[in-house]
Amino acid sequence: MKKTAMYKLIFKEIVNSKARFLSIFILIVLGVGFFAGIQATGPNMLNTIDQYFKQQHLYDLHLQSTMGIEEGELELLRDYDPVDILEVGYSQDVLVGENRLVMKLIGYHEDHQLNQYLVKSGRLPEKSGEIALDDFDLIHNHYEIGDQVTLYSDREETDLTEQFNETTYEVVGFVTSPRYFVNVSRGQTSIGGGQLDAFGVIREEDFNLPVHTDLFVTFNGLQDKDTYSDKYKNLTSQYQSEIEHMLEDYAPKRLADIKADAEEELDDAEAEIADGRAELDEARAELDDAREQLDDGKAKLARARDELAQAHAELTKGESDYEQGLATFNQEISQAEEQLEQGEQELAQEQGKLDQAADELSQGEQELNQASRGIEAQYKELSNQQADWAVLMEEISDLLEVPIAFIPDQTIEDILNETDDIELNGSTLAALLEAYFAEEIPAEQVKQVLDQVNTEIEDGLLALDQARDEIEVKRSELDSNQKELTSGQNELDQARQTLDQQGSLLEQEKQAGEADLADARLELDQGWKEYNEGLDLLSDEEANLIEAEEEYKAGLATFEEESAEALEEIESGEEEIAEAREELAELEEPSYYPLLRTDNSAFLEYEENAARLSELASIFPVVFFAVAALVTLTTITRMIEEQRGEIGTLKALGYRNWEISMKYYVYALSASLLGTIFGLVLGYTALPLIIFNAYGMLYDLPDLILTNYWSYTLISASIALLSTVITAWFVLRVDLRSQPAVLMRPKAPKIGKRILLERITPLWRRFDFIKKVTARNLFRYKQRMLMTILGISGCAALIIAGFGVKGAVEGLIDLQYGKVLDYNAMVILDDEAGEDEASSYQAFIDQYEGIDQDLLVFHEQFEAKQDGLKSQDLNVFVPKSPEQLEDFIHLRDRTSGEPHQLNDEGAIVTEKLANLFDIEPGDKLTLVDGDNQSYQVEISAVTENYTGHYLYMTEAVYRSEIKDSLAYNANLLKYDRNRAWEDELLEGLMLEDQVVTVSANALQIESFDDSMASLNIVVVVLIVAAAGLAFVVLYNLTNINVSERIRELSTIKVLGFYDNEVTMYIYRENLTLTIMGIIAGGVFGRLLFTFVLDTVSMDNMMFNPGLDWTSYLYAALLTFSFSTFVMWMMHHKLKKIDMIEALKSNE
Amino acid sequence: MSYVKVVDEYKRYQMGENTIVANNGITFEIEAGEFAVILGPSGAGKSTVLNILGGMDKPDEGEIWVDGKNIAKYTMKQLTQYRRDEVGFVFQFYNLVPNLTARENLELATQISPNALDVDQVLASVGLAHRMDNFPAQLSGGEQQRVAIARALAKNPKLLLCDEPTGALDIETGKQILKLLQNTARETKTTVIVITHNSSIASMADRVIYINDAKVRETVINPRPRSVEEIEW
Repeated sequence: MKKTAMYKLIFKEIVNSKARFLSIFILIVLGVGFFAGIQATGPNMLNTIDQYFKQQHLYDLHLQSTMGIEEGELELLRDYDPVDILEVGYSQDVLVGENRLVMKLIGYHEDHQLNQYLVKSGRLPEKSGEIALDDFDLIHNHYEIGDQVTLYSDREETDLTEQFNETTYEVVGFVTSPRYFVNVSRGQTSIGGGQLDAFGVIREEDFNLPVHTDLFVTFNGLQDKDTYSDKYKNLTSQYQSEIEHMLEDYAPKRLADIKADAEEELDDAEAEIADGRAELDEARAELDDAREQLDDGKAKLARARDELAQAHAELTKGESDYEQGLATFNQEISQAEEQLEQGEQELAQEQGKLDQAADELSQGEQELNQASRGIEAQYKELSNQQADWAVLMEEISDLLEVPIAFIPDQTIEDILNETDDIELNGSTLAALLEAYFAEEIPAEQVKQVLDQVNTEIEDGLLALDQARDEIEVKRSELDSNQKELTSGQNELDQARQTLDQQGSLLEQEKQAGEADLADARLELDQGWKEYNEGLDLLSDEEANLIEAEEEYKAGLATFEEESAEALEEIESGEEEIAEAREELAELEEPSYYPLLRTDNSAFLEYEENAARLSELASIFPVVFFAVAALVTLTTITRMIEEQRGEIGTLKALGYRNWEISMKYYVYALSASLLGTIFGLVLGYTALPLIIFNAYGMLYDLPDLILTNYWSYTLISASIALLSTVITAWFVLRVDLRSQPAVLMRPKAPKIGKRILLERITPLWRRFDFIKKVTARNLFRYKQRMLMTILGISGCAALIIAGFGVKGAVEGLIDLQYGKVLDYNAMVILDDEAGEDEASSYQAFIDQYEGIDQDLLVFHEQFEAKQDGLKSQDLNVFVPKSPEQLEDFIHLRDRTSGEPHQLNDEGAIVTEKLANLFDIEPGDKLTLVDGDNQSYQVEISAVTENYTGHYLYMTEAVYRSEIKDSLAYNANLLKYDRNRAWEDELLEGLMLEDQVVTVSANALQIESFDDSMASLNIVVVVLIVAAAGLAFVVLYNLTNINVSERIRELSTIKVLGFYDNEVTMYIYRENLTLTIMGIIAGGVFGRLLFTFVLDTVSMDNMMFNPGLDWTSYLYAALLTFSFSTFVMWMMHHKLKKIDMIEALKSNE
Repeated sequence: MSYVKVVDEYKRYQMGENTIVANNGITFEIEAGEFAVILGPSGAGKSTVLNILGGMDKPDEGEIWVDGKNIAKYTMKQLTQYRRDEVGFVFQFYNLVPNLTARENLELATQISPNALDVDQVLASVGLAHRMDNFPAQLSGGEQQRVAIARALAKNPKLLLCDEPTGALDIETGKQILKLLQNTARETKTTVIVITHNSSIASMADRVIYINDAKVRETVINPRPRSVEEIEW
């Protein structure tokens, strides 16, 4: 049997009542979406981080130790069964860049499996000198890829090059680490301001540390466990305590090792010191030696000088002796020579005479010889001539016997030639002969001439013989002369010989004397040379000695200086050794810190945030959903009531009950199912994303992983169905039992009756008619009134709570920086800085125009601990002049406003911590510093404060309760200028060497605003959702109201009510309900606000529990405007009411 | 000119593809102070005429003159003003506001009416002074209708329009109501127009307008209207 008519009816019903269908749909979407969305957000957040940790292989346990990690610990853990992966690494906190950001440098190696980085841009370091930086705003503001990062140590005595191979790194990328997923903090550190600003990843080999600093471990069997699950937490904490025990057992051994090592080192040091002492002594001995040597040298030198002087004298004497000797010698010689010369001269004179005589003699001889030779020659010639002549005479006499004519010509000629040269009385024989041959002279003449010649020759020969005799006489004369001469010569020669003998003797003597003198000279010269050499040597020596003396003096000075130093050093070394020994004796076993993920406060804070959301989800969406469900229920009820007639008709026609109810079930089911589906889709996606992105400002995490949760799906779907289908079933159940006739007859209109108000006659009388009508109408439909008030109040409460939380969160800053902190900036100073830097800074502050006041404070971060409670970060402030503190930080009781004065009786703690730890004045608070040292401080008062935990105390209290040393390391500044001026001031401050960082409260407010904005977004989501719900609720309820009373409205319309009067007739009721709803909402909202604040409030923030009236105002205004808007929509609907149609039918 | 004058009035309704002509050139006149009856069978178009006369609907064509003014040209707001100041309505199903007492139901009307009568007097005049603090549900049908009439009269309208005022009442009660209406016309000089399909009522009227099939078939002036007591039906 087809029942197409029935289906048509259902379809038509939906189409015809679009508005109602839509309003049910929207209510369900809102209810389901908000419920499921908010519920899913917390788990989604946890799931996202869990996946992130798994993908990046975050450690399960991170071990650090006061003495680093060595092979021993490694082996110990390697042998521990649950350990899966084990890795060691290096890390070190340093300051980087001009602005001295506090950065944890972490060693990186490709082989590392744990704590993997996510590269956001660039890459990880691939070679030494490269660095990948923390990917977040603070770093991006200062560095880009390619920039240089320079490391600085926080203390001058720390030499970074001892810890790192490089101190300048090139930025190659930006990464995130699962270890650091909270943007606002990277954790604490012992350097800089105590807070890490960022981490940086460098190559492992760039570290130069003696021991590993970190050890990371993952455990077996946890890979599939949720990191926030109890199983994970229980297992890891079990392993942790086991490891803790193992390490506790191991600690003594490590200590012993260390002690042994240290002992050895100390011994070495002692030996060194002994060496030092020995060296010192040696040096002293050497110096003394040198002194001695010097003195020796000096003496020797003196002696040498004496000797030299003596030598000089001697030499000088020798010289003069020599000179004298030389003179004498020369004189003697010259005398002798003179004598000799004289002798010689005399000799020469005698010789000369002798020679003259000899000459004369030889001349005479020569002359004699010549004459003799001449006579001989003449004799010979004459003899020859006599012979020749005799021959010739014979020839000529022969010829003269022979006639001339008979003598051959030839013979004539020959004779002529032969006689040509024979001169004769002026002519020649030839000429005489010629003249003969020429017969001019007769032969006798010739014979005469010839005889004559012959006689002449004979005469000549006779003369010659005579001459020969004479000569012989002369020769004998000469010979006697010669004899005389020869004897003179002999005498002379003898004299000469004597002289020569004398000369040679002299010569010999002279030579001997000269040789002697030369020897003496040589000796003298040698002596001089030696003397000079000696002198040179002496001056050299002297110079050397002076030098040596100087050297010695310098050496002595140096020695004295150095020895003092060395001695001091030695003494301090000894002291140090003694101290070290003492320390060593006192040295405790190494402390091991095996930390789990859960020991990271950020890890827990994240969970808390998620839990907070879940808690928020446990109340907000429930209220929300309740309102939505309630209104849905009302709507469905009304719809079925409106259709009594139709139900009756269908019944009368014979339709079975289930067939009739089918329509309503389908209607309700389709509306709620569609709404549920849409709501779930929207809720599971949009809401978690919006909220998570809001938290994105706080956390550095990958995109949210969206999941649907069957539990929330089932809960929300069943509530949606309950409020629609079950309502339909419930309402129908009553109607379907009735007879068709009863159903077809109009349901008896609700009987009008007097309301309670009327009995208060004086009041009632004061009402004008319209008010009375309104009042009566309101109370006539009590159920609807209640529904409306509930709905509106629910929405108003949500809005109030939303704005309240928003206000409380935002107000936090106003309160903190308006009422509590009254300074403008805090300058963190380098307490290790030198005098110059400090005075330069002080001068800067004193002279800077516009700084009204400044106060030096000591600031240190501690952890406040109490058994069974989560430890809290605590800022300890010690003002230099406590009486001045009031100008900078207002310490007072929040409720009474009574100011607290800082005194030496105890510390003043801030309210939230006091509340958390349940501390009252007189109680003691336990503080733990970075070295795990704990201190107890008595609390004297509790002061108003809104963000963070602070502990204020005087220097005396600090010194007596905490540490003896205290260096003022921060300066609070107060001024009243604009931001540009402030920026300039901050820049100027950063240039001061003593300034580490400056934090201006104006900037703090901004950054805090940012972090609070995330919570705000959640609240905004809440407000928007609540507002949306309020609108739908108002529309729906008004719609029901109007449709229920359409006849009444038509009647007054007919009576001549203007359109706006008609609207007002209804609106007045709505307005009243709205006001009542807002009032009720105010009460609910207040409760909800308190509840929400309790759940969302963070440990380090104190929300002002007061709910600002503006929250009520906003809620009231929003609700009013929605109700007005709804009425405006209704107004249009009412204008179109067909009064005729409405009035025609019977009711 | 007559107090009420309808000239060539047409009213058509669009019902899906069909056009239903409710009034097809209706023309009639009613003098001031007359007790007029518009008579016709169900669906003849008489209610439409009354609605138009009462300013609850507008004709498609034609002129509707009431007290010298053509209300066919009125805007919605003017029509509301007209309903408020000059017209009293009485419905077959009373249409009292159930949450208001009899007196308050009257006040609902008088509060907005410029020349309203004293509520108590009007209630007394319809004989319900003793029930004025009762809620409609506590009254009988006739009493309810009397309250409805009193509500219409309390505004002191010039024109009292009644749509089958006795339709839901038994004969006796119906007669009392009719009597009240007739007296009203006589005593207050209010022009009363009653719609009915009951022809026996017609004899009471000063003027009877017969409408059938969307047209005025006949207008009869009754020189000597009978009193209610004389009527049998």
